[in-house]
Amino acid sequence: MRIPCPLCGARPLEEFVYRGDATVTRPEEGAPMEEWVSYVYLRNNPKGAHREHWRHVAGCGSWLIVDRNTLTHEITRVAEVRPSGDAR
Amino acid sequence: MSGQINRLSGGRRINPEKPLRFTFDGKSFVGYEGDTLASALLANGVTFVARSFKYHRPRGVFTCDPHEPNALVQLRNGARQEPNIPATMIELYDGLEASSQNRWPSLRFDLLSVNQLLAPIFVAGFYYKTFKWPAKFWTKIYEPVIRRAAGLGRLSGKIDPDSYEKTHHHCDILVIGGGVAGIEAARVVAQCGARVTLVEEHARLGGLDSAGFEDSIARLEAMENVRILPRTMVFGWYDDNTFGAVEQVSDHLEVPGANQPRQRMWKIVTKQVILATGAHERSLTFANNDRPGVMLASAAERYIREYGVRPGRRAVVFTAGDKCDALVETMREAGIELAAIVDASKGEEIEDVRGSTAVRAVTLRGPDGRTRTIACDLVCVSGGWNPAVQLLAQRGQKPRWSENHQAFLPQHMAGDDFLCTGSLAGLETRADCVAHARMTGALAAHRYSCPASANLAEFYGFLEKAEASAARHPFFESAVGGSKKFIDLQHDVTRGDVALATREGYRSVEHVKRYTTMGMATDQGKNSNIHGIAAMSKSLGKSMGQVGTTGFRPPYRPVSIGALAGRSRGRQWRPILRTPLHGWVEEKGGVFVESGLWHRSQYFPEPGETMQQAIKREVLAARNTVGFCDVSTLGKIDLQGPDAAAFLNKVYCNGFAKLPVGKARYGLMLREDGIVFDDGTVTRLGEEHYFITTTSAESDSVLSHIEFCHQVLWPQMDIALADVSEDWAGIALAGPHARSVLQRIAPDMDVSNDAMPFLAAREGTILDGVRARLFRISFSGELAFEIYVPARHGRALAEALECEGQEFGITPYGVEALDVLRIEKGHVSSELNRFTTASDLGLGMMMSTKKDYVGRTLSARPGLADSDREAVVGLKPLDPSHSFRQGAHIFSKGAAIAPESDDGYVTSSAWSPTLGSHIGIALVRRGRERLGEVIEIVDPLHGERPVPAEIVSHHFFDPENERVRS
Repeated sequence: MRIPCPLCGARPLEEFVYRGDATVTRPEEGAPMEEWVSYVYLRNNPKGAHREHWRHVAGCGSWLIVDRNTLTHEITRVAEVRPSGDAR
Repeated sequence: MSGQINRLSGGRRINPEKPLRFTFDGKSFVGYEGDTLASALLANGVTFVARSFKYHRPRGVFTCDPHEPNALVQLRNGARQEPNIPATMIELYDGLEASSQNRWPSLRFDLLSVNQLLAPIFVAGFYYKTFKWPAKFWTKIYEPVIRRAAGLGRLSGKIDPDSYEKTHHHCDILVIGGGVAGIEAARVVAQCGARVTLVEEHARLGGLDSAGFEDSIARLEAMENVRILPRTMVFGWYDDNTFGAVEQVSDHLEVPGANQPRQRMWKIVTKQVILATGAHERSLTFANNDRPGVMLASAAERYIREYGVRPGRRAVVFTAGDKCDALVETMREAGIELAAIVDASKGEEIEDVRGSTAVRAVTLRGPDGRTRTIACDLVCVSGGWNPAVQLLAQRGQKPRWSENHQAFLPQHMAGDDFLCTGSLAGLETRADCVAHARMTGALAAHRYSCPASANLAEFYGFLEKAEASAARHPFFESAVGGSKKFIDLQHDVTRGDVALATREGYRSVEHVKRYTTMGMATDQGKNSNIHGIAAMSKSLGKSMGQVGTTGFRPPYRPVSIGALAGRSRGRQWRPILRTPLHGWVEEKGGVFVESGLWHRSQYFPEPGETMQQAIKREVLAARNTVGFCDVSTLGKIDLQGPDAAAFLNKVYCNGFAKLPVGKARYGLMLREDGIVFDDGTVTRLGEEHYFITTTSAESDSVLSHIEFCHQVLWPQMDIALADVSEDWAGIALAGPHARSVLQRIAPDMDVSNDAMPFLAAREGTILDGVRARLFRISFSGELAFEIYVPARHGRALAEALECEGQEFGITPYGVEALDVLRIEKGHVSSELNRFTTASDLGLGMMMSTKKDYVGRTLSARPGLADSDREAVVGLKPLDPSHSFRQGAHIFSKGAAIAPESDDGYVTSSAWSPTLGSHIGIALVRRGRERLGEVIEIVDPLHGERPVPAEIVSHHFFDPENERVRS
């Protein structure tokens, strides 16, 4: 698999580490325990389109949002989570 | 030379000027340059070359290809010995040594050929049905005996002396297969200027028949934008047009040249791929179709034409309908007598093959049911062609059954980035292959320079027309004949085995494959699957398409582990990290220990000293005089920005808002689930500037984590992070005389207790103008400083400390002494084991109640706040000399030694020279309430006697913290 890093270009899988689901959002301070449990532990396991967090650890170090099809591995969009203004 | 009784003149690949000597099973032979081991053996009249896997039946060379099922040999001797190599792929070199496999004591006289007599019980599922009980017999008796009996070759058991390497390659167009289709497609597409790479698994291009293509090959080779990789096999097609291939760089040599690898693994990334992988000729199923002398028709033809070898003198051709004109013509020219052509499409079949170690005759049955026996020593079988769809199938394409072609073809002949051509696409004549390949090359060129694919319709139209006009006779199996009709030659799976499997209820081709093991040998079904499917089709009354093929996964052909490992073996198994002090430690005779990727100094033995003695001396030096230790392995992060303090408050559980400039603070980091992640120090160097240290082990994961916090969780925070771990060398200077030594190397800095109290941090210059950061922090529990200098000055710092500290008796210490010192002091380290909470570690007070931070909410979960949890305590054996190990378990006195009554485990242990006793740190259930209780330390794993010990505070040494402040 190759991931088109917005800063570095298309790079092989080995340069990246996978974190997981990018659709979950860290709850606000003081949110009830259930929300935190859901944030940390509960994940859907979609077959098909998914939004994921990857880090280009052996490249620019950026955390990326990768829209990837878990069935075909097709990647439709990659963006920096925190835009640096340097994207190609 | 007279030994080459079956050598003909005029073999295209053969150079008769260059004879090569070789041995097979210890016997000497001569072949020629250009031969394979298989062709050279055949030239010498050696047709019986192997014993089969299960029944130990005599076998001969069956193909001319890499997926040879029979003629697998053991190549070379000594450490370079390699088992299971197809003789058809071994290029002959002078002095080659090979031997047959799976026989004892010899090929001709093999004791285990008795298995043939037992064949009626060695049916599909035999192991599952037979070796069920008693269970303990499996590992001790059944498995060893079966492995001995049903073996292939043997590994040498020695270290491979050769090297392997990996390389990356990028191209615009990858052409897989160097037959005429691949050559023509590559030649045409290369004219557009694209970077083209052509990969061919054989030593030379040309495929089955390259006559007339010499010019094309030469022109292709001359093109600067074309790279040709012969002896290279594409084994896998991965996502985003990434291909894995193995180049057999020097397998055709006795010994690789200087600095030459044996094999090279290629990782190829391409924009487009042209698949011209060709087709494999298939056999037919008939009784005793495995006898030496039964051979694929195309193989016989190639042995005669390409290698100048006569595979037999009197031949019978058995065909599913092909006229086999080329073979007939080639045999006529070679003077091989054609005894009969048995054409199944005319109702003729082979009923049986006579002969054991060689074919003597075949019995034919005509359409009228009459049989006749014909003497012969060669049976050429032409069962049709199987397109090599394996790579496409790896991408999830289910091959499609074509009734006209009587073959499984690619489901899709083209996609956005791939095109199929040649016999892979079902084309049956060379003219068709060439015409379509040129069309394919032009299409690929068109796609390369402008993405529209204008003539795709023509591309498909050609294939559809070819398929519409194909009319192959459907025939796979002689209806008559005995029990030994082999479907899988390599795994000895018969027609009867498949029938049995279907009778027993197996319906899926995947299940029949696994139950009978058909297609599971090293040829991965390239010879056998189609016949298994045909047999199932008959037994189940389903069409070939309904039965379908099994899936294909990488690798296309076996790949040696050496190629996959590449350079990652021995010392290059993984990267080595060395600190800036590495060379200095080496000169001091320091012993290194691997810790993650780091090689850290473990201890510094004096002459004649044991490790324990050295550790004791080093610990006592730090306690009584002064010592120093390399701490450069700590992770170091530079944090700057207006929101830096707020950010630290988020990632650490303790507060950092009020940390003044010039001060260091211990920090504890949790995971979001409330478990402790890492600890370290944070030093405020300026208003908006912090220097963070992490543990050596977690430096990478901490960096990744706080980058996540910064980039994902709180992107609005105005901070910048940089990993500066490798920029700074760090040395901990500890002991009562630490300040005196430091003052000498830092004469321009005031390091007095007033100017630089405990936890103070100062920047300045030391030695002769070296920029340094001094932190008064202590892991050892002594008066101590951590000194950081730019990495290139690390060695100079160590030398200066050694020199200036001489009169104080300064002693370098390693990580062993460091560990003893911290255990004596009661600092947690190995207790941060991904199971413990801050509270478990006795650090619950650090968790702020005034702010949000990673892990705050979930650390309050009932399970993590349970008072019954294990907590950190110290252990002191009643007899100070009684040692115990990390990992030993804690039990109440008199409790049953059982998991239910387990009260915890030892996390650290050491002999404390300071206290004159063994001591340890443990996680003990409700530990803090049990101080003073005598428990037992139990270690049944090491067979040690329980050690009675008292639970004490883990702050064994200087619990009042007086020394660190002195």
